[in-house]
Amino acid sequence: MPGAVSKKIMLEVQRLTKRFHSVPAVQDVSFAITPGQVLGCLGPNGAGKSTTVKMLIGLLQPSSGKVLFNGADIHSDLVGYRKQLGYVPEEPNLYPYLSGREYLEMVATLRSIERKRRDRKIADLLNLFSMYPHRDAPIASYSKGMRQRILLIAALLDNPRLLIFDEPLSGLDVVSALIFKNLLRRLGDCGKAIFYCSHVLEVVEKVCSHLLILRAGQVVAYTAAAELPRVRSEASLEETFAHLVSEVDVEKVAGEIVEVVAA
Amino acid sequence: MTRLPLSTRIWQRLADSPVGHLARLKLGRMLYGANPDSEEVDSGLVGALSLLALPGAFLSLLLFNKYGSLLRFLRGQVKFDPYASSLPDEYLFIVLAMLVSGGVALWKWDTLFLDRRDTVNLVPLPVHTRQILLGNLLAILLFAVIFCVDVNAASAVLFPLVVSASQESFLFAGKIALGHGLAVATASLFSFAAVFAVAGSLMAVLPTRVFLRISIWVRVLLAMVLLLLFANAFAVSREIELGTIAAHSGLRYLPPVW
Repeated sequence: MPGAVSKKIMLEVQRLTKRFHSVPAVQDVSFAITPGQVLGCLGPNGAGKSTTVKMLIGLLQPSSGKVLFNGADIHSDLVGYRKQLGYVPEEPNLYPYLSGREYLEMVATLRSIERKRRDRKIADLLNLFSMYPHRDAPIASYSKGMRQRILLIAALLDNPRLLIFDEPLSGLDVVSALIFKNLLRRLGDCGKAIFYCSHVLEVVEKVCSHLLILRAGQVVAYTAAAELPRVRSEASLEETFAHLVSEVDVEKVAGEIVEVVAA
Repeated sequence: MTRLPLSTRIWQRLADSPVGHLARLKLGRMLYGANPDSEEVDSGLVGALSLLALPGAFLSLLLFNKYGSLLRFLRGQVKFDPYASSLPDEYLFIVLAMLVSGGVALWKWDTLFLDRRDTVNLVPLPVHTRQILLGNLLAILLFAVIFCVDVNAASAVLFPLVVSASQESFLFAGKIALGHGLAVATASLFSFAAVFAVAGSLMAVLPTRVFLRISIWVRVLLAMVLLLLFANAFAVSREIELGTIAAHSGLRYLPPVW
């Protein structure tokens, strides 16, 4: 367990492995998240981030290993686990004929939120995410960023203890992204355990207390953000990340692409 | 404060329950078509509903020739039992109802299962898979009811009027209407349930991957069975009219004859 965290572990992943037709997508991944911790998950395409997320939300059964929530296997009571879970997927694949409000009402009903509390909370969150004027417009007319905001509201609606974000910033404008970054910190301060998958290293560096770096389905680094061993003392996270996960000389490849384009 | 009727309260409770929401969600997906970003009701669906409403109306109107008292008088048909005479025609309406309901169940077979959008939106929520399946089944049933009402609405009004054209009693028309309504409604329900009974049985005995692979062939086979029933409808109707159906043991096993 990286860092000196004395709090009780909320989410624990033990030697998680997933194979598709004997091809391993995730191998022996282990980590833990305590309340208040924001664990950033980084990795290049095909590193196993999405597969890990799918196993964390119980969408995929691991080939071996376990995901424990408060010490119990999530598959022993998936519905109970999901009551405590807020999840924002990478693609805002919503139902286009519903309005934002109708979608949120449906989520709230499926989360068994009492009607009066539901209506007030939806209105407040829509307002705070600047979606209130568009609440009754069909989702088909929303931009990608607006759909992403609806998903964020849906994830936060039931005040979950564990939040899993898979590239939540895609499509968000600058102001919304800034709000989101601050929100992540504040949610962490409130004791939420957060698993945050992203390609945006700058956000991960600023917001996450701990880092998990995957490459080819395996953990190459798992540490407190401040303790990540850097390539050089003044190296950025981007340089360190490239050093850890890249098998190619990125500068050389970029140069070669320019040469081919110019030819 | 006035207390709402029990049926209204039950309906409100169902509509506001997770299963009610899931059914509405799925029904919306069926009505709004295959286009992932469509916010308009599927125009193909509107066209299909308009077209399917016509055969029942035309068939009923064409039967005036058979049940009209003047025409029967001119033909010299003195003895006429409208109950017995309406049986072969009722058979046609039953086959039509079964064809449409079975066809809708086959058309929307896939919607019983979760697709990518449902997986992303519903699976991470604290909902039991059985609730999602129940919601989907309810939505398909409502969808079939829409089609069933559409197909049979015209004949439910016109057919009893046509059959009772030469009768003096209004009660007679009522009896025919009740019998006709029950016959087509139960035939639709039977056909719809039969298709999903096949799907459910196969799902129960086969692994999901195998089921999904053979699903299309099962649907083609069931569609052919329904079309065969329809293709033979006029011939079987004639057999019923002649009263020779008992001699043909094979025909007795056709579901619409039951």
